[in-house]
Amino acid sequence: MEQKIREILKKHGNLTEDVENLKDDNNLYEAGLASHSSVNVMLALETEFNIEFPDEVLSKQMFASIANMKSVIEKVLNV
Amino acid sequence: MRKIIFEGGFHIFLIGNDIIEVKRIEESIGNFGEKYLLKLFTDKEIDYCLRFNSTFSQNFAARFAAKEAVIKILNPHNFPISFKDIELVKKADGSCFLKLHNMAKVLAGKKNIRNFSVSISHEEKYAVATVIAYKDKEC
Repeated sequence: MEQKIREILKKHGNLTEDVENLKDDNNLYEAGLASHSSVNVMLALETEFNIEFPDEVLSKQMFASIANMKSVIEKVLNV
Repeated sequence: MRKIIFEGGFHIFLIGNDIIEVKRIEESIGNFGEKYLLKLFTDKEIDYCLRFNSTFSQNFAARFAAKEAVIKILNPHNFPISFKDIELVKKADGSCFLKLHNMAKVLAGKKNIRNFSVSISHEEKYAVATVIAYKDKEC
């Protein structure tokens, strides 16, 4: 799952740092993730994992790191 | 976001602004289509913007900038706010106002924000928005 998230970040995140150099718990906002790009990342994650994020999980914190995204996706998937 | 407190402390104005490249919106519409629009904009906003055949992306971009400007003021951190909870409404005279719903409305209430003023502008490449929030007292 982390690799899929990284691929989506690379395609839609418009990060200023190379995704491959980021650790799972690195702050993505510090790596250049902007609000509008986070929307694109969210939509791509929904498509990739065939899920829909409920509004109650869509906080800024959710997109703050790869680990946070993984945790929320697992929660939505009931893994 | 800037906070201005006038002497006497009767009113506090919070200011948020945002700028976005119109092409970012065009790319997202191209990549995600209707799903993107439905995630960010209310039905009324979508209906309004799609009236403009050649400039609808600019109109969506200005609305996104306005939503972002409000989010900068509300500073939600872990408070989950949907972009659709912040709606920009166009009046017949051409001016705009903001309508908050659900969690955005709740958070604005918690922060003692009484009202908002909004101004948007857009052209071929960029859209911008400035929002001023009015508070009665510091919370």
